[in-house]
This record gives sequence, C-alpha cells and structure tokens, in this order.
Amino acid sequence: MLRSNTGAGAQPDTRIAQHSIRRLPLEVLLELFVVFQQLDPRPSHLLRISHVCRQWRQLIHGFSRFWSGLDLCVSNPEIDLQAAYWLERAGQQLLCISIRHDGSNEPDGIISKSTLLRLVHILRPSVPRWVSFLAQFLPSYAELFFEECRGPASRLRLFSIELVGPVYDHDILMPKSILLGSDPDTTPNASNEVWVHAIRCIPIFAPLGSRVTDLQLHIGGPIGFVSADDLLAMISSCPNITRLHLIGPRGQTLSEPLREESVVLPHLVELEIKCIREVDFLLRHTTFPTLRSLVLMGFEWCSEIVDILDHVFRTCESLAAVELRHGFDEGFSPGAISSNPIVATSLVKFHMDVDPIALPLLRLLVIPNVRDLDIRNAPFEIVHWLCSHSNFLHAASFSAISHLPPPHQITSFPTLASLYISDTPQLLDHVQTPRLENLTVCGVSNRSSHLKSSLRSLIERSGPALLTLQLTHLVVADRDLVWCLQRLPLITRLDITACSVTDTLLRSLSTPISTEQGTEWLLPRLKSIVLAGNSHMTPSGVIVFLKSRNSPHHLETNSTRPPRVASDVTFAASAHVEEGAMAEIRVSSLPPLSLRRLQL
Amino acid sequence: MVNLVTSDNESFTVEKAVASRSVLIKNMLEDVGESDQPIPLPNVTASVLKKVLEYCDHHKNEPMPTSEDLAAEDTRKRTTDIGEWDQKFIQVDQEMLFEIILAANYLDIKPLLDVGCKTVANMIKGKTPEEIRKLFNIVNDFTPEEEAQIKKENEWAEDR
Repeated sequence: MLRSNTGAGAQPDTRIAQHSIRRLPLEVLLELFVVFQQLDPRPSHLLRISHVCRQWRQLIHGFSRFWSGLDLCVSNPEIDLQAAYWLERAGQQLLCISIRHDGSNEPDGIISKSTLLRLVHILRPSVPRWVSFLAQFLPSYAELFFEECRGPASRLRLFSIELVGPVYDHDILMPKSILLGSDPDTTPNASNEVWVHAIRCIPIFAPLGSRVTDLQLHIGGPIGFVSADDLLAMISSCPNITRLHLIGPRGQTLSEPLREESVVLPHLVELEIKCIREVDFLLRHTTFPTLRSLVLMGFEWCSEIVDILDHVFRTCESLAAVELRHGFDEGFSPGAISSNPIVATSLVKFHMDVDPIALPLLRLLVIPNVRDLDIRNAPFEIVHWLCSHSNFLHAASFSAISHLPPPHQITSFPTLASLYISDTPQLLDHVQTPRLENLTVCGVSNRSSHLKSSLRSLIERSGPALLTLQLTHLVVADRDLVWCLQRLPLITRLDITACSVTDTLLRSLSTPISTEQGTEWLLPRLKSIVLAGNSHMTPSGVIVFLKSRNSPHHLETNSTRPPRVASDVTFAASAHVEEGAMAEIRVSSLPPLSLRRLQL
Repeated sequence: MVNLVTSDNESFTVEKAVASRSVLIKNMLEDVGESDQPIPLPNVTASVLKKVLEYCDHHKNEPMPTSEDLAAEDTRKRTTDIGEWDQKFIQVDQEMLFEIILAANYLDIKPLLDVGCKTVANMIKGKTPEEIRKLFNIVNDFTPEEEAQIKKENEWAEDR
C-alpha cells in the first residue's frame, strides 16, 4: 500500500521539545472548544474551560458564538450582572435563554424583585434575538417578569414556562399574560412557528399567539377547579395553532365556562386532552374543522361528550385517528341522538374504551376505511357492526368483549393481518381471518381462561398462514396446541407465557416426525421463542428442546435442518431451577438469550 | 501513485486515492497535473505522516465531506461520536495526538482533525481547570485582576 524510504538528509524534529497543546494554531484551538461545547453544551462548563490560562480565556471570551446560551439561576444574587456579562460577549448572536429555579421557595433563596426587574431590563433589548426562552418562576415573579418583558420576538421558536412553588398556591393557575410581539422573522425560509410548553401556567399570548403552532400545557398545580374560561382564553390567543395537548392531574376538574362564543381553530390538526374530567366544557366551545387526530383520555363520559363526538364524526372531514381511553362513567343516561348513520370515511385508526353511554353512537358509526381498530369493553354486536362495514382492516385488538353470540355467528375479517384478543379467548370462535399473520390471545392473569378448542376452530375455519403466535395466561392442552402448530408451519416466532402447557409440547418441537418424504419438524421455520412463567415446563424440557434446535452437530440427512432458535426463557420464582440447568440453557441457546427467574 | 517527502526527508509512495484525502495534496495534484515530481510536506515528519496515511488508507473509499457537511458542522449538527476504528487509531500518546491534529490541519484533512479534536475534548470533559493544566502542562498565567473576575465567574458557573 505505501512504501517509505529514509532520505540521507533526515534531521531530528526539534519542535518536539515544545509543549504540544501550546503549538496548536488558534483556529485549531477554537475548533477544539467548539467540539467541546458540542460534547458538553452547558454554558457554565465552557466558562470553566476559559479559566485554564489567558490564551484560552481570550479565545473563548472573544468568540461570540460561545455566549449565545444564557443559563441563569434565580438563586444567583448577581443574575443581572451575569446576564449583562454574557450579552456583552454574545454580540449579535441569536440567543437561547434559560432561567432556572433551584427549588427554593424561601425569599432568602432567590433574587429580590428589584434584581428581577434589573434582569428584565437587561434582557429586554435582546428579545428580537431570542430563539428559545425557557423559564421557571414563582407565580408572582412570572407576573412581574412578563409585565416588563416586551418586544418583537421575531426569531423565537420555543417558549417554555413552568411555575414553581407550593402545590397549595392557587395563584399558580391564574393566567399569565405574555406580551411578547409577533413580528415575523423576515430571513429567507424562516418558519415563524413557535412551540409552547407550559407547566402549571396558563399563558395568554398577545400578540405572539398568532405565531404559536404547538401548545402543550401540563396543568398540574393544586387539585381543584381550573377555569375553563382561562383555558379557552389561552387557546383563543393562539388562533393558528395546529397541535394542542392539554394534560391535567388525574381527574382535573374544570369550572363551567361563562363564555358563549366558540373558539375557532381553523388549522388545528391534532388535539389531545388527558386527565381533564369535564372535557366537554372545552370541546363544546371549540371548533376545529380540519382536525385529523383526536385523543381523549381520563375524562367523564356524559351525554354531552356523546353529542360532541357525534358532531366531530359528522363534521371533521379529515379526521383520521380517534383514541378514547380510560373514560369513567358516573351513571349518566344516554341522551337522544340523531338516528342517521355516521359515515366517517377518513377514519383509519379508531381506539376506544367503550362506555355504555356511547353505545347508541357506535351503533350508527360506519368506518369503512379503518385499518387499525382497538375496542375494549364492548358487546360483540359493536365489534360485529364496526367490522362488518370495514373493508381495509389490517390490525385489530379486542379486549373484554361481552355478550358473545351463539356459536354459528361468524364475523369475517378478509383483510386482517394482526389480531390481539384479550380477556375473551372464545371470541376466536366467531371470527374468520384467512389472511391473518400475527395472532395474540391473552387470558386473565388471576383466573383460568380456557382456550378450549377456539384456536383449533379458527384454524379449521380460516386456514391462516400465521407467522407469529402469542398465548398468555391461558389453559391450553398440549395435544390441542400441537395439533394447531402442525397446521401453522410458517410460524417464525412463538411466545407462550404463563400457560398450562408442559414438556410434552417442547418434546414435540424437539423431535422430527418421520413421514414418507423423510422427516419433518414441527414449526420448521421457528427462529425465536419466548417461554415465560409456564409452571408445568421444566428446565430439562427446555434444555432438550434448545439442544435439538441449536446443537451444532445436529444434521439430518433426509430433512431440511430448521433454523437455530433465539430464546427468552423465564421460570416462575416458585420453580426449582438448579444453577447447572440455567448454565446448560445458556450454552444451548442462540444469542440473544434472555434467561431469568420471574420475580413475583 | 504519488510521492510525498516529509520534513525529515523521508519519502512515501502512496495511491492517489489515499493522498487525495488531504485537500492540500489533492489541490496540488490538480494544479501540477500528471507529474512524477515528489510533493514536499515541510510541516510533517515521517512518523506522523505514516500515521496520517494509515488513516487516509482506511478511509480512502469514503465520500469526501461536502460543503453541505461542513455547513452542517457549523450549525452544530455534527455528531460527537468517534467511530470504532478511529478510536483505536487515535489511541496514541499525547505528543503524537497533537502532532496528528497539527498535520490534519496543515494537510486539510477535516475528518481527521475532527477525530483529534473530539479526542482532546473528551480528555478535557469533566475536569477542573487545575486538572486540565496538569494534564497538558499548562501554566496558570492569570493576573490578580483576572483571578478576581474568574472567582466571580466561578460563582455563576456553580451547578445550582
């Protein structure tokens, strides 16, 4: 590759005597500091590096880019001097401002209000160069800061505010006016979008709100009433918002709004509201014609919610995904809804924990293009209704489905590839799935769920070419399961967890069967197996199985050798497993192996 | 093939693709065209060039960094990871490490300069100024006035 020839005039390098890092040209040293800042972006750490020697200090203090991040702490009594010092060195760089609260709520532990005012006045001229602003304040400090902090925040992209203080401080949930200006960024290709993240603070934006596109609010604060009017005022101050996430502590209660008029959000595509009990107070006063994704979690089911959903399904023509989870029911009666069917043609994802109050709505809902369906706690008639009108269903999950029909009633899923059934294994008796590739059936952990002949009947009826099969918490006979596996030769992954099967199943998987054509293996394409907490399986059974599949010496003359199998083996804590057996399993398994005892 | 002559008058004959990892050499080759003339490298010794050529040979088939890549580095999108081979390659004594950095800078081999700088930055990371001085044998040459300002800055730099 390369040849070298020592020349006659070679001289020893006299520069070696010089100290090495001192010989680096300034531009290389600067490059080194740039890399260091990437490794450790905290401004204070580069400042420490500047304390090594004069040369380093001059270099770092003379390079404005290193000073574009202001990391200020309200427990620093010289916070205003620090800010001025930083800004002087930052020149005209764009700025990332961070004001941290160190957790102290005591007056001695934080700066005085007069210092805060001085800080605001120092920062204020730099507002047009703020790219991000992240602050933690006591409520009264936030009020003071934002009263004084104004200016055209044309480069701002991220605004994050968190109010800190005692949880009983109800002032936390008082809305805070943010008076930063909305002047647009005129640099080419500037996005002009502002992302807002607020914790325990309800920011009302004016006029910056016109540029806010993403707003995430963790309401937090004292458990009690939050004014729906305040939340609606916050939302209405951001009329161009595209994504809105509101998250309350579990069961956060809203006071009923006094306002009459509706907040129109013409660009909203994603709405997610979690853990706010009276979510209908917000939804009733909000209009979002272009909504594509709606997620509601931890809310109270009532007839108003049903009305709102009815309206959303009928009017949001772009609605593609709906997720309604963990709603709770205080016993409201269903209200009267229109009897006209609702055809939501744009909906492709629909996940719902069904509440009885929503049944009349679901009986009208037609979702012909749904691909991903997840239904919990519904009677079978709803599953049948939704699926019988769906032409493209690809993945379905059904949990705790009640009121199963007589055995002869079958629902066909001609396009379904993945099916997850939980709590109701007998649902398998009522489905036809000719294109199914992935099947998961889960029983209930603390009671015996009998699979009986349900899987067998599904296979007989549908003849699916399964690639993966997962059985959990089920009572299933070895003989039945072997029968099923014989008819599922394409399976590559098998997961059996907390089931009643024994070493008999493992022996069937370990020994090829003689046929006229030679020998055949059960699950000849198996590449991965999970055996977890199956109390009737023994370590010796697992060892025999793994050795048969993974032994390097195993060569069959008349059969195609099956692939080696990666395994994840867990024994119940109560099982007696000797260390020697564990070691043997480790040796016999193909990596990656996960081997452990179940800790219960 | 290209003939390179070091400051200590040792000559190396290498493939053009290897030598061209250096933007300096690449430009020289483009300027002189097809020629058997040796290229003098007065700022690089044989021991360092040998090491640098080992790097260039390993990376000879990789695409050269584009102007977009360099622009991305300027906007701080550069990864701080060092590849596995590069990590082993750069496990040299401190003297050689800085020689490699100097050579990479002189020969304009940006990725090698980057590996060198990342290695030194990792050595510095987490250390106090005193520990860094000790590591690189740097003299504390601050004036008393500067020391006073540094003391104040240290208070600001405390992790609160």
